[in-house]
Amino acid sequence: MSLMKTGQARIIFFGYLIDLVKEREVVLEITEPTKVKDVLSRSLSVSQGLDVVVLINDYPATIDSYVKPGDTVKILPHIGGG
Amino acid sequence: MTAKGWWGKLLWIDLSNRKTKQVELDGGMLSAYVGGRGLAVRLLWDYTRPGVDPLSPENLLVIAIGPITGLPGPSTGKAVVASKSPLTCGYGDGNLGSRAAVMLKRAGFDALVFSGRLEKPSYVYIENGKTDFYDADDLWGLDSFSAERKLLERHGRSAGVLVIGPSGERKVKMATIVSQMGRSGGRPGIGAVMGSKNLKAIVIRGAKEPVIADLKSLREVATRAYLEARSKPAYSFWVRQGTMATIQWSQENSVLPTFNFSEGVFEESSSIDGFAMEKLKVAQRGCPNCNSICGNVILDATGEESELDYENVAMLGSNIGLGDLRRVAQLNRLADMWGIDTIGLGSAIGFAIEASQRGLLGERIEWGDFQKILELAEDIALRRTALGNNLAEGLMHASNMYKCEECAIHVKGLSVSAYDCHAAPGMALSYGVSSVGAHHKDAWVISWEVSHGRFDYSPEKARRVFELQKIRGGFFENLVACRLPWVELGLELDWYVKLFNLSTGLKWSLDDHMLVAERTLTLIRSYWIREFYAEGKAWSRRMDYPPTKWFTRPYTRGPLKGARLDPQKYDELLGYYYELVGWDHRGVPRASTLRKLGLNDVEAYLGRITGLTN
Repeated sequence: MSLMKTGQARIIFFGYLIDLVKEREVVLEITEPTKVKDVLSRSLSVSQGLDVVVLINDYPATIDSYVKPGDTVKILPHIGGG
Repeated sequence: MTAKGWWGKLLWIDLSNRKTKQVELDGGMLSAYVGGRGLAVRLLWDYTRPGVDPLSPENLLVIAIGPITGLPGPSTGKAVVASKSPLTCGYGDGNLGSRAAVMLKRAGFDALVFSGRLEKPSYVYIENGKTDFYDADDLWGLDSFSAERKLLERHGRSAGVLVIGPSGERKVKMATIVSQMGRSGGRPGIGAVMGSKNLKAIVIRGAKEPVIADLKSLREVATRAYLEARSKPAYSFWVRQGTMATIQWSQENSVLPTFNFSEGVFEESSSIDGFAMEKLKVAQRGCPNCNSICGNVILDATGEESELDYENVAMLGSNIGLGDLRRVAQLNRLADMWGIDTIGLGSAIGFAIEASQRGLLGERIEWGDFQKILELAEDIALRRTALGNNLAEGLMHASNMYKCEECAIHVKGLSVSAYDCHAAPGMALSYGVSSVGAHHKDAWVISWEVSHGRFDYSPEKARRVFELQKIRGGFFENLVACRLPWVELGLELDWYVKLFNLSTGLKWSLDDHMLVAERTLTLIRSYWIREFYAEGKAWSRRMDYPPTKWFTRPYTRGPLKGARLDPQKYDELLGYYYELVGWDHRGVPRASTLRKLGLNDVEAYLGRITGLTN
């Protein structure tokens, strides 16, 4: 469990996205509300077109939702489930 | 004249008289239905009497493959098993990866049709065009693994085997057909149909080479498709965890079935997820012709190998409150050996635990009480005890017997597979209008739904469900290819269109396949209605409703606490879907829809029994 400071947001990756970004979890500086897609492309070099499932503080969100300082963002791949 | 790729014939096996005949399938029939599911439902429509008792000799068992089965190409080693379901009394099918699919192709047939009933337990051996009947005295009573081992010793290890276990013999209404010790298909009781015919196994060997329009190019395209699948970003993780990755995904998205679909999160989920499995993994297995194999094997609580996937683990794990993966694996292995649907078994056990806790059974069973669960599982699979026997008849029967509709998580009698829909209206619709009852195979819309207006009941969701039904429940089921390389890795659909064209010599587009898919799905709906009317039962849009509990009992825990479906909005969503697919307010195909799809004979029949709107 990462300890976040004021002005930070925690980003957790799931499934094959861990392989893709080569990180399970990162903590980012967030000074103002920022769209999830901007966080992903600017800070993590993840392509803009990435089609993912987003949860902010465990609640359904999208890549156009805003991340605020203190938020935990979960990024999951789409999967087929058998 | 039949195009290349198909054999243009099926083998009809009259079990009562131990006779066979080869029946020609003309090119019109094959291009209208392609194979697999489409071919199976057409044969059932044409050759079963309306209202036939599913467990009578009159019912048919169909094993069908498609024009790319057994040829080089990603995941082309599957077969469809279909019949009128004894569980739902509607259309029932399933698919399974098996050498039997490849061998059926090489034996020279597009399908097998079994009619009648053997006088005594026996098995059928098909080698190329020749069929023999053997007594199954030494096989009847054996579990599916032991029976298959004996058959492989007798007929050679490369033979394809489809076999039933003790559940199929006892006509348990969720009995499956098993192959390769862990591959199962036919959730709606297709194994019970096989058992009702005294047919323990089907063994197939073949050495014929089908005529392929352009074999050289097909091999080249297949090689490129395999390489493309391997190059996808998700490939490595997929091979490591397969569908088991979905446990964590479902937990995070609050859709992991927990305590008989009462909740969407399970406190012990990390004990049964893909990472827990990776630590215990001892082997990996896959279907024929697949380079994206997803069968993960661990040693269960007794030290035996058990092949896991998401549905089995969720239904025999979180859904019954069991958080020990090795014990879940034990239940999973036993279910495969008995030849009973793991999803149905998990749902039946969940029903019993919930009913017991509501004071309806005269005894109390706790969530996760492994010893009692193990005993109950065996009672169901082997029809021991009154409770086991009632649950073996299916959830609708149990619901009536024990007066607990909320405990019965099913649609049209088929138990819901492992996605809770308290907060997923689109997936609830997908289950509601699935071709065989509640199954994820046709339209697994939930992954799209959680990132596109999760709580909406918008027409867009109905559109997405229909689109996925045509691809998953039509295109892949008719070709009889596994959808997972497409849905999990992102392997483009066009690869399969190319393989089809190179096999048959036809020049079809994806749209051509979608039209066949629509025809298949509409004929399946028509078959349900025909059978319901023939049995004197009423058909209404209520048949397409998801389980009661999702409307009446909100989540009590987790991030989405308080979530439940809205019945009025669901009904509106169902209306959008009917409009889209061309069915009327009852869910009956319109005359114009049937005509558009070339189902004029079906239009005439349904018009007589129920009256059609235009």
